[in-house]
Amino acid sequence: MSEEKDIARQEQIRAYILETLSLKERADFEKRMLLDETLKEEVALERSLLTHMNEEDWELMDVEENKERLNELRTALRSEENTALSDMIREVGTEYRTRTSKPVRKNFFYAVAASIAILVSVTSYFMFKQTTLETYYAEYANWTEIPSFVEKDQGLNAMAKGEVLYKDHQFQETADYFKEYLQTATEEHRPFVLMYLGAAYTELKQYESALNAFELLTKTNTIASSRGYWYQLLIYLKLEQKEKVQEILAVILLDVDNYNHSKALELQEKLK
Amino acid sequence: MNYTAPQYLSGLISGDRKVVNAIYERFYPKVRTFILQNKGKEDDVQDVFQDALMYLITKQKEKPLILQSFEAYLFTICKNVWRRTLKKEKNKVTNKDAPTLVDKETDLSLFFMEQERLDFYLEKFRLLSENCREILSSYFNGFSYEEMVKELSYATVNTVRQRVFKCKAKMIQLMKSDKRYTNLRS
Repeated sequence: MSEEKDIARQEQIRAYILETLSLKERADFEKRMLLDETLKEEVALERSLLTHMNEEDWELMDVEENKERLNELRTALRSEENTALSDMIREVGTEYRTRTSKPVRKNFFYAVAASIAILVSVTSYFMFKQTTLETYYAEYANWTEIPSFVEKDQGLNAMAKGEVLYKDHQFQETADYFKEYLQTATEEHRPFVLMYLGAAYTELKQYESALNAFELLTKTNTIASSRGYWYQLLIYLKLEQKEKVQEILAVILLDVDNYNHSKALELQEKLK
Repeated sequence: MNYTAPQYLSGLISGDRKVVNAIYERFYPKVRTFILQNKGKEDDVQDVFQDALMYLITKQKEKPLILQSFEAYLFTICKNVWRRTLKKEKNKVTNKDAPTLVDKETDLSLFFMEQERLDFYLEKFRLLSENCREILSSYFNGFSYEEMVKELSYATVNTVRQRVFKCKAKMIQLMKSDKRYTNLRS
């Protein structure tokens, strides 16, 4: 058979698979397939390649195909060991989803809480006495309570190095170090990096940068994210921004699981 | 905690919760974004991730995987599990080759075999020349000869037809000369 004939045969196979043949051509082609086992095999292979090698498609196999291999895999998957692993993975997955879905809910409430807080803050604006907020800052701020990598055994030498700088009061160095580290930090490390970064900026009185770091912390979708609200609250107390204090307090008070919820409640009472 | 690919794999098969948790923390968000952007829902993400991890466990137990990047491999498997789910959905809607209802383990075993077949095709595809890979990639992804002439700067449609034919014949020859071919296409 000449190459041109081979090409024409391949193209007819493709046209049959893509259903671009006329009804008559299709019927004739199917008749030929009944008589020609090789053609039938060629069609099956071409169909398989066109489906499986197409990034938008997938070739499904039937249970009747290669039963021996199917049984082998099925038996392995049903083994006691794999069933236990499967259960454990699902459990960890459920825990993970429960843990990370919370901040989403908070973000939703944040908008509602923020609007309520604006209303409340307008009416209570004059109730604050001058300098009171900074006094509360002094009372509540404790920048040494950030979780320690060493104590928590995060196994993070690189992280611990930044922590040591912070504890040595080398705040500029801490900020530089963690700012750089943030670029490559994993999802797991990110909240801790942001806590130290924000705390270092606070110590350096670079409050805008500190607020940015804590804002990012609230968006980390981790269990530590609600700390971001508390740290933002501290800075607004320091800056005596009453409206912001009210807004953030309202967000923290929405969920008892939020970091320092009881302290926020206490502060709200004091501010009344 | 950062783990290497072998550490992730051995942690998975030994059932180390800390490692599994790290896998969720590190890789789940990317898979979630991909699935939600491709017609999926939150529950689909969990199912896909679970199946992909079970695939990795079974595969690793059969023959240890040598991976350059755990993340890239896991993401590819998740994408393929999701491609498959979408195909099953499509077949259900069009009632074309509707899949037989099977239990979870049978379904995952079928995915396993389908992935093996794809890996085999890709292995042979990668042995082709760069030019062949380029032209066949367009061909398999549904481009017409006319589009290939434009996209790949060929002179005529006839040149493209001949190249497609030759490259595909080469790939099929590579596949058929491998003893695994009979098992994978039985």
